[in-house]
Formats: sequence, structure tokens, C-alpha cells
Amino acid sequence: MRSDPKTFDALVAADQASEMVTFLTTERLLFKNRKTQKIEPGLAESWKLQEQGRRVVLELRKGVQFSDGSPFTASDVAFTVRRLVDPKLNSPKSSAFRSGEAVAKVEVLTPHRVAITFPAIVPGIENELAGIPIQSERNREKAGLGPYVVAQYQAGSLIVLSRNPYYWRTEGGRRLPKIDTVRIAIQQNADTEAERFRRGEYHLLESVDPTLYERLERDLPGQAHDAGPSNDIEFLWFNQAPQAPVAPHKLTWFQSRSFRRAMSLAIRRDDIVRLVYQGRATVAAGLTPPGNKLWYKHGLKPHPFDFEAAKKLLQQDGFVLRGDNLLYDRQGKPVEFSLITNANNKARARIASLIQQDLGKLGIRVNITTFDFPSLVERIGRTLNYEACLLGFVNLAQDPMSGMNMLLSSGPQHMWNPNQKTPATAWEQEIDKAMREQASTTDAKKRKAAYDRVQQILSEEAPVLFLAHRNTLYAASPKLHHVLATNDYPRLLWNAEHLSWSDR
Amino acid sequence: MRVAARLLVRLPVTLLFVGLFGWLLVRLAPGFGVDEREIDSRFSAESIAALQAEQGATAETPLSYARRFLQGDFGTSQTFGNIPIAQLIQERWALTTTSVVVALMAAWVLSIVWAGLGALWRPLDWSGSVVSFSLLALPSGLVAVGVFLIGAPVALGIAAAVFPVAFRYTRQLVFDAMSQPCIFAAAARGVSRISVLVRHARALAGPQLISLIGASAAMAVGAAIPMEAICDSPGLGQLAWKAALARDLPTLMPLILLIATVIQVANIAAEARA
Repeated sequence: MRSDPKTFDALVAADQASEMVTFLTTERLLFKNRKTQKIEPGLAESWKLQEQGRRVVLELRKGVQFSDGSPFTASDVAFTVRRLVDPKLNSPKSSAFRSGEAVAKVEVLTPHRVAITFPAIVPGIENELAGIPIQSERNREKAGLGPYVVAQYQAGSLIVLSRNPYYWRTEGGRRLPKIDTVRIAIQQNADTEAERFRRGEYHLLESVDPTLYERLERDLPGQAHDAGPSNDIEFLWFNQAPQAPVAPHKLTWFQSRSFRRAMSLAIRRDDIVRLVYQGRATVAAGLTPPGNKLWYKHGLKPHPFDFEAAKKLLQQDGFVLRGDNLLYDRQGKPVEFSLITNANNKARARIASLIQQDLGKLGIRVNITTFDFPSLVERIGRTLNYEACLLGFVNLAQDPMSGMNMLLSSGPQHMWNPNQKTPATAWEQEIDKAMREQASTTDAKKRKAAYDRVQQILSEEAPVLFLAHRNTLYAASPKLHHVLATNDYPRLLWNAEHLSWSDR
Repeated sequence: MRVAARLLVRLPVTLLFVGLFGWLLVRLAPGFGVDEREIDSRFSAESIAALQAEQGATAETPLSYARRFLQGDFGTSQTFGNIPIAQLIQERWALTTTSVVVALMAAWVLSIVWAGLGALWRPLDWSGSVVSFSLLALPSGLVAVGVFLIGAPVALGIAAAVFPVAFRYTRQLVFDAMSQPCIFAAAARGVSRISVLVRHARALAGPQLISLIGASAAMAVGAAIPMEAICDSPGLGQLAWKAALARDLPTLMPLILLIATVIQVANIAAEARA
């Protein structure tokens, strides 16, 4: 794990480390099988949707106990939902359970039957329920329903998880999990992590850098694995916010569709895949990765490398290449912008450098500036003091509902122009309409059609230049069995209770 | 008594200055008080406003922080699982202290023996100079990587940082002592070179060496920070490194003050010996 968990409270967990630990120490009403991407029964044996998907009645599993031995009942579900919708908690998992001032209501019907009424229609309600960790009403901080409990936490270095003796899942009549103790090392440095794996001190690496992957594959044959395109994506966008402290002539470039498309056409994405990821990545066509079976728009093509088309688009917008090999805009200003990204990310630094080279051939000067993550967040989220930014998302959620704050023009994470009062462009208005449409129905076909439209508009208007989805690269000791890697987090430990160990 | 008086006067002034300087440095650094969750698309505008308000509420003034600090309340860490900072320090101080003490002992014993024998046999002196200059030229980060790769303890890396300086000083002191008239007189009386070195030169260089050992403690503490961070050793150095990168002011402040105290005490002790 790259960093310490910021919290052990599963309802508040937002960072990857906290999500990982709380995934292993809690259990959800429904279970999402990461391999099949299908929803399966969890703490609820069955469920029934009512009132056009606004209400769900859940039959809870009997005989389930928390790690302190206390019984799991409908009161625990009610406690969790009430806590989740408490505005003071500010939970990242509460969006479906809140709509403006209105919040979800929960009724305990019997000790093992509970009903939740949502304030509005919730598309993908099962997915939402599969994301809510149930907490104990009596002993929230200490008791959990997951396969493991936190036995030791040594800040900055180690988390030791020990098996929950009351865990409810069984296999062949034997109570799971199979492994008694899991030691999660907190290791910021990928090279150190790989070295420790090589020495046999670590047995499972959840994420391996492509360069290190090649080395591990060579040194430890059969222990490094490639599970295909992940849900991670690398992308670039230009700051289009009128209130941003960006020179007006640059804002005019960034707000031009032709300029953005020309930039996209001039980037050799194949080179990024080949040189940065050693071929272990997929060129991105849009926001949704190909591994997302339900929402990926088949037929959406990545922007190809087409230098001549890029030049033509720039000419149409009044840009000219002068004798000094620099591109100038209509006002005679040289085309030059800064590209910011986060420090300590080797892959991103190399992508930035390749983009700099590619755009340099058009006569554009790109100045790369790296910031540590808090400084970068301050610039892109608060001061908007930047021109272009190269960043990535890890583990994009599968359902478009989770992208509302990013894709709606009024959203705070609408990166290229956040918090708009009214959509600045007609195409953003169209995206808003389609996103609201998919959010207001439970009809899967209608939702897919609306979201496909969003993906198409994003591709045509290019507010974000999608670059690549890196592959899920991991390493596992041959002594560890039943590792089923997926592209959805937690990629390797989603079935932790089934993993087993043999010394031979 | 003089040492205690110096400590009483200098330590509070140093801590006040270092504390304020450290505070300002972190407080004014870009990205301070920014929560990474602000760019998490699961958070709505209202949630982000709440996060920002929360960050604003936790930003203390130096005065209120000092008051709390003096009452022994160091607060909780924002980076390390929200656990009390006192607990973090308690868990880690022994490892760092051991590494620093072992490194100091190793570096000085090696320096004294090598420089002493070098005064008797020239090739040893040259080899000592080559080794110390080489270690001086190597960036400490690179030394740390080497230490990690061979699986050696962090103390070796810290010792490698202290040795070049320790050797240069020791060598100079031994050579100065060996060129004193009394040493020539002893040699003229037929006392062997080893006896001259052990009995007479030691007496001449000893007090200055002890004061230098005190001063080098500060260097060892400074070297422990990158060494522990790179060698993945869970001590106070690693904690300070991670806290600085994360702008975790509550965790960083007690560490800055602790390191300043150690350095000040070591320096005053060294001055007293001198």
C-alpha cells in the first residue's frame, strides 16, 4: 500500500488505503463479484425493489455475527444508513442516499428484514448497496463483519489484520478466511517494494510499475502478471474557466474546439503506450475503460495521430507557423503554455515529456511544471491557476452516477470549467441533459443510450484528451493461491477470504 | 552548572525561533490546508465546502498551538490514521536513537583507529583520505539506496555520513598532536611511536575530539531523516519525511522541536568540553 489509511471508519473512507483496509474489515448488504461484475447476495440474502426503484426491502441473513460475537440485525443496517446520511459525517458514499435536503429513510420491519426508501429514484441501486459497509450499532469502532479485523497498526509502516473468528462465509463447511494473518506494508517507494518482493519479504504487490514489471518478469518468472486494461486512466485537459487567472488570449485557444482537437490529433498515444508503459496499456478512446462491460461505448475510436489534420485545424483557427518554427495565433502571440502535473510519478513525467515533443513539432512550446499533490490540488481545485494539466484517475467507478459531479457543468469536479451557473456551451448543456436523463430512470437501455451520447460528445468536443488506460500489473508469490486479479479495486484482495497459502 | 545555565538560556530561544520558522515554512507552503478529497468526484459542492471549512477550523495560531503543546497535547496526525502524535513518537524514538548512537560509535571508533594508525603508517592515511573523500562526494540518498540494497542497518548509512567529517577532524588533531615539541622530545627519549601515540597524542587531542563527537551528533540526527526514509526504516526520520511531504503540520512540529532540542543539547555539551 502506498500510503497510510487516513481513517479506519469505513463510511468516511475516501482514499485508496482506507478503502482497502475497510474493505477487508467490513461487509456489505450486497456483494459485487469483481470478476463477473454481477451483484450477488451479501449480508442480504434477497432484495426486492418497490416504488419504481425508490424503495428496497432486504431480507437479512440470519446467524451472522460481528467480530466481537454480537449478532447482526436490521438495527445495524438502520444505524449505518442513519449515520451515512448525517451531513456532519460528510461521507463520500452518501450521494445516492441524499437528494438536496431530503435523505433516505430506513425502517426496521423485523430483526432480519429492513426497508430503505430513497429520496429519489436511484439508478443502479444494487451497486450502491454493494458499496455501503455495514457497521455495528453497539460497537462501531471495534466490531466488524468483514473477514479480518485490524490487530495492529504501526503508522507509516505496517497494518496487521487477523482473521475474524465469526466471519459468516464458509467454503466446504469450513469458516473463511483461509489465511489467519495478513500483513499490509505501507511502502511509498515502488522500487523498494519490488526489491522486498524479490527478497521474499512481500508476497503480493497490488500494483507494479511497467519498468519494474519487466524486471520482475525476468528475475522471477511466473510471478509477475498482467491482468489487462485497468480502470485507471491518464488524461490531459486545458483550463477553460473564464474566472481563472489565465491570459485571455490563451483562454480563447483553450475554449476553441479546433485547438483542442488539433492538440489531441498531434499526440502519439501509441508512443505513450509503447515507451511509457512498455506496451502494457491501452490507448484510451474515452473516459470509460474497455474493462467496464456495462458502460463502455463500443465503436468509440481513440483520436488517431494525424499531424496534417492537426495543422489544418490550427490553420482554420488562424494559427500560423512562422520562420522561427514557432506557432503564432491570430493576434501574433506565440503559442506557449504550461502543463502541470504531480511530482513523483515517473510515468506521468514521461507522458508530459512525450506530449511536449509531439506538440513541439507543431511549433507549440509546452513548459512542464511538476508540483507535489497538495499544491496541484490547490491549483486545479481552488485557485484555478494553471493552463493545462496532466493527471489520472485510479479506479474509475463503473456506474456513470459516480461521474455526476465531474460531467455536469455545475459540478465542482467539472475540471475544465467547474461550478458553472449555466452551461457555458451548447455541448455542455447537451451533456448535462444526457447525464440527468440517465440519472432519472432505472431503465438500463435508456441509461446506456444517454451515457453513450455523453461519451460521444466528449470525444467530439475534446474538453479532455484521454490518453491511456494502463494495465493491471501485479506480482504474486507462487505460495499464494486463488489470486483472481480484476480491474476493479481492490484488484487482488476482493476475494481475500478465499486466498490460501502453502509453504511448498 | 555553566552547561545547565547555557541550556536554560539558549534552548527556549532556539525552540521559539525554530518552532516559529518551521510553522511559517509549512503554513506558507503551497497546498497547505488542501484536502485531496476536493478533487474526488464523489464529493458534491456542499461536501467540498464542508471539507474546506473543516480544514480552516483546524488551522491553529502559533500561540494556541504553543499553549496546547506545553500542556503535553501534541494533537493527532492528519496523515497517519488520525492517531495521537505522542503515540507515533513513542513508537519510533527508540529505533532512531539506537541507529544514531550505534552510527556515532561506529564512525568515531573507526575514525580514531584509522587516523591513529595512519599517523604511524602512511598508506593507511592515504586510504583513509580516499575513503572519506569518496563518501563525502556521494550524495546521502545514493548511500541510502546502497545500504538498502545490501540489506544493511540504517546505522551504517548514518555512520557513512558522519565518518568523512569525523575522519578529517581526527586526522588533523592526531597530526597536530604528533607535531608538538613534547612528542618529539618523547620520541627522542626512545619512547616507541605507538606509545607516543597512545599516551601523549591521545592526551593532547582527547578533549577536542570529545567536543567534536558532540557536534557530530547533530549531523547524525540530520542524516537519519533521508536514511530512514529511503531505507524504509520506521523511525522518527521517516515520520518527519512523510509528514513534511504531506504538509502534516501537527505531526511535523513536535519532531522539529525534538530534533532542535537534541542538536542544541549536543552542541552545548560539545562547547562545554571544548
